[in-house]
Amino acid sequence: MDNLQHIDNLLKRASQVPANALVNDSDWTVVEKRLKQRKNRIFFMWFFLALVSTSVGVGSLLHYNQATPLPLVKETTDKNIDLSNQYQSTETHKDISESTIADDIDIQSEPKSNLSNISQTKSIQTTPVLPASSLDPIIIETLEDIASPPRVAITPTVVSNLVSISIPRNFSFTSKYILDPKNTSSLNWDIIHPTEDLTNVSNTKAKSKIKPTPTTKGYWEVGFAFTPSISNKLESENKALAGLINRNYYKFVADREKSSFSNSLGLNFQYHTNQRWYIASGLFFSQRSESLDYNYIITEFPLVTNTKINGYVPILDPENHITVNYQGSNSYHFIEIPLNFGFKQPISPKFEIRSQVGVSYMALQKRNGKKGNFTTLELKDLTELDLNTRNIAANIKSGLYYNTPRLAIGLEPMFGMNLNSLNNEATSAIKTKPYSYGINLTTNIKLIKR
Amino acid sequence: MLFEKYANKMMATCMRYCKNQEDARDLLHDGFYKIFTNIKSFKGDSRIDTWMTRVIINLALNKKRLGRNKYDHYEFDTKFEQAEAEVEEKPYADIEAPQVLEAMNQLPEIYKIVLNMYAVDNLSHKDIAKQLSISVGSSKSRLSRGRVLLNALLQRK
Repeated sequence: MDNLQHIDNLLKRASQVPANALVNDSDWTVVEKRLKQRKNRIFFMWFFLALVSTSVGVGSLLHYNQATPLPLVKETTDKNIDLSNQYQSTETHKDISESTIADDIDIQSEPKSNLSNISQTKSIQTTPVLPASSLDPIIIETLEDIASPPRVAITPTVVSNLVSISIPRNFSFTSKYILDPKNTSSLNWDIIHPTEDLTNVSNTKAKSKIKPTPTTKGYWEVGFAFTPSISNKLESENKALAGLINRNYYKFVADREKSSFSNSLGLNFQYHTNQRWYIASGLFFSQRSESLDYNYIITEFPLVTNTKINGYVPILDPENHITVNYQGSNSYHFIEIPLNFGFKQPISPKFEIRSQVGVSYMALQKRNGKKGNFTTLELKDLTELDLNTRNIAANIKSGLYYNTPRLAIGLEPMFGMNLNSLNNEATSAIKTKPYSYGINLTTNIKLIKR
Repeated sequence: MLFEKYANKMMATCMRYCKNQEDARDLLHDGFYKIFTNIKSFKGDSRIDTWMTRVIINLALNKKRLGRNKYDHYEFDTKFEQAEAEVEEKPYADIEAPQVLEAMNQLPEIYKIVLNMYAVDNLSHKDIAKQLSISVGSSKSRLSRGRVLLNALLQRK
């Protein structure tokens, strides 16, 4: 059909003629409005992402830049360790420092042993030497003239899980008594009356007990959480039933559904392990929503055969045209039970970054609103739609917490999204996965055994 | 301003790829939205209006592929077969542009698109085949068939 190539020229000439539908200002207004919406959306998304990444970044940096704290005690020996002969070796201190944490540490005097120490010290003519390394957890900066003269050595001993330090009866601490300056917080040793003559203390265990901090044991947090958020949804076609989608569905219905405000409110339970990990769950009333702005006229009805629209029959009488003009919002109410795994990173004595990720079981309880049908475009009440009542969602949140001894108050940007389609895929040609992003406000009470 | 300068030209392109004015206007809005949001990807190796036309054509094709604008559920009409048989060669001198465009709009979508892409937008069969996910042979046969049908429709007028 080469002789018909002149058709091309004819077509080309015809297309040079300006379109009979000229562009006017209203077209530019539509484009401009959409560009502004996009700009706002992008700004908000970046702001949200920046919040999340800043939280995660700061937490990670702090975590990886922090020196690994030395455990106070590394190993336990069944033998008593008499350090009096080894005071000149810093290794000895490390051994002690790295032994297993004793549940209870007493400083007690052992006059008998002191006597022998004194004599031993005398005989080998040694002076107690302080450990060189500042990391050594036990530093006795000066033993100011321990029973001066003669010089006396301290004899720390490790007896099974108990660490005891032998101190001569006439021993007196008059200078600083520092226990692992880098790790005092982790152990929270209370040295009562550091300058007091320990001979007075020697017989009273209670006066010099180690108090474990609450963080050394697992504990619960219980509280309220409220999350104002913005909801939207991802829509896709269900391939099995895609033939049922009206040719005007996207233009008239889907494209006229926008994001909307939603919220979540409920009880929060968290179990914090002695490490930095925690597990979070709870019971929430969560909402997903969408705003609608339908404005169209149905002038034809689809001819459906099996699961496919085979054609459209125009409704000839204009009086029978169906006008759909509806503005409002749809809301879907769920009971949400999350199971999240979290990690916390202290950034100061009062503040910490907490990040958690997990899944939620979401039971659809209630739905309010109307929606255009994907085949007929008619407005249907949400209660008429076949929706899944059992859903699974994923969620992630990361934010800043303020800690008091009894409370943890948090502010966390969050994102949650349904993993399965809210519409029943057996009956719906459209798959809908609602999502929401917002700020989670939490106030938890710490339930710590003292 | 880009919109003021090229909007009418782009509207003409939209009209060629859509069944009616309403759809064309929607395509124009979507097209300019995409043009403005992707303007950074224009590298200046062609004229700006050529690039804009490509963006709009791609968008139109994508929408058709996704079923978002199922403007027409064509079933091949036997009237084309008859018209093809009755065709007599007549001069085109007295055929006006609107008549040509009207005849184009009566063509089934598959022929109309290939004719538009090849004859008006100067795309090669290879490019057409790639864009439409068809073979080069199909593109050629659709073009040939589209010419015949368009000729038949014009001759009937």
